[in-house]
Amino acid sequence: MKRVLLSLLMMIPTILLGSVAQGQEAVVKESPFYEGWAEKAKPDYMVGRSYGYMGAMAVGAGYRLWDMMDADLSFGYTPRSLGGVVIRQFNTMADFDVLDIEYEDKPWGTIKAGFGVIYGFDRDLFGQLPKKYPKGYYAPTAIRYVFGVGVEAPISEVMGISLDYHFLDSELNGYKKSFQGIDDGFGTTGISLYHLLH
Amino acid sequence: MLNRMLLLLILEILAVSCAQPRVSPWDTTVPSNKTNATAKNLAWLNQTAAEQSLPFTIGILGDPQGTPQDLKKVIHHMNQRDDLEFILVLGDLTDYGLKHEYEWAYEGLSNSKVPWFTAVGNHDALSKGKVIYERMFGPPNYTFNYAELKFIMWNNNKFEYNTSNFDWLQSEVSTDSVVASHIPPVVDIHDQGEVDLWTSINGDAGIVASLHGHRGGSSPYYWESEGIPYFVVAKTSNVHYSLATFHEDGSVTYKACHNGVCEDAL
Repeated sequence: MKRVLLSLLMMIPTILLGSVAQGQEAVVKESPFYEGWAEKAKPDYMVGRSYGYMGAMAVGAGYRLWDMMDADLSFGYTPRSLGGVVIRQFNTMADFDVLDIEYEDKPWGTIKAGFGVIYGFDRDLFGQLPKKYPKGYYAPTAIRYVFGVGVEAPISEVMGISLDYHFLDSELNGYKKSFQGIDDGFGTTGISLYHLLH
Repeated sequence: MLNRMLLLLILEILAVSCAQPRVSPWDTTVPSNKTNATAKNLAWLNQTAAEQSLPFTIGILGDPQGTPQDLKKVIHHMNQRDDLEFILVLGDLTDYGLKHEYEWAYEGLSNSKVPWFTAVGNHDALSKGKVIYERMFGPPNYTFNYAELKFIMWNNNKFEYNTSNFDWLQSEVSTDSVVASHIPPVVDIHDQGEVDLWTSINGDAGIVASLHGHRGGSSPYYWESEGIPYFVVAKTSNVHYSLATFHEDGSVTYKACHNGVCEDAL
C-alpha cells in the first residue's frame, strides 16, 4: 500500500511538469494574446442619440452581443440653451431584441426593450455620499437608471434609426407609489442613429 | 426606405404627443407657464386683502414627494371645502430634485382653488433642484401677510444650503408671526445648540405658531416649547393633510385629515 501511495506522489511532479511542457508548447504554437487585440476590441457600431434623457446629443460606440442585444456607451452633452445649465453625462444602454417586424414577408425592423445607467457630471451631483450627510441619508444623485422600449429599422446597408421611449427610476418610483396616467408626463422620447463598423 | 422613415416619423409624432421631450434627467428648464409660482400666488392672495380677517383656516400638507396622485387627491379634497384661505406646502415636493418631479408637484398644486405657498425641502435641493425651485417658485426664503399675521417661509435645510440662516429668521419674527419650514426644531439635521437657538428665537419673539414637515408619518404631531406651539404635518402619502385655524385670541387649532375626513388633531 505504501509503495502505491509513494508511486502516486512521485507521479504528481511528473504530471505537473508534463502539463507545463504541454502548455509551453501550446503558447509557442499560438499567437500572443495581444495580437489582433485592436481589431477584436473594435466596436461593432457607432451610436448617436438625441433626447430621451440621453442629452441633446450623445455620441458613442457599442457591441452586438450574442446576436440578441446591443450594449453601448455614449457621452451626452446638453448646452445651457436646452438644459438650463450645461449638462455632461455618460449613458450606458443595453437593448435586447424583443420582436422582429416583417412587412410583406421582408424584415422591416426590430422592437427592442432595454435598460441603462446614466451618470451625470456636475458639482451638485454626487456618486458617493458627501461626508456632511449621515450614512445612507441619500442615494447617489449622479446616477439615474433608465428603462425603455424602441423600434429600430435599417435605413441603409450600414445605418439604422431607432425611435426610443425612455423613463427613469424616479418616474417608476412615483408611479409605483401612486399611479398616474400617461397624460401626466410619464417618460419621454428620443431618437438614436446607428452606424455599423463591420 | 422612404416608407420606413415616414412610419418612424409618424410614430415619433405620436410618441411626442403622449410623452414630453426631455433632454436629460438633470434638465433645469422650466416652462414659462410654470414659473414664479410664489409671486403669482401672492398676487392672487392680495386680491382678497379687503376680506382678510381672523379667524381663518388654511390647509397644510407636507412631503408629497413621490406620491403625485395622492397630492392631486389632497388638493381635490381641499377644493371641496369653502373655509380655506390658502394652502401651505411644507417642503419635499420631490424625492430627487428632478424636473419631472417638480412638474408633477406643480400640476397637482395648480388645481387648487385657493393660493398656495411652498417651503423648500431638503430633497428639493438635491441634484439641480435648487435651480429648478427658484425658477418654478421663487426665493427659498420669503414672507407674506394675511389678515393680521405674518407668514415666514424659512429655508432651514442646513446640509443642502450649507446653513440655516438663523439671522434671517431672527430679523423677521415677531409676536404676529407664523414660521413655516421643512425641518422641525428637533435634534436631527440640527444639533442641540442650533435647536436651542431656534426655539429661543421663537420664544423671545412670542410667535403664533411653528409649522413643519420632514418628520411626519401617517399622522401629525404637536408639542409646545417656551409657550410656542410646534406642529409637524403628516406626509401626503395615502392622502393625509391638516388644517390650521388661527383665532382672534392668538391660539391655533389643528385638524388631521385623511381622505377628506377631518378630526381634531389635539
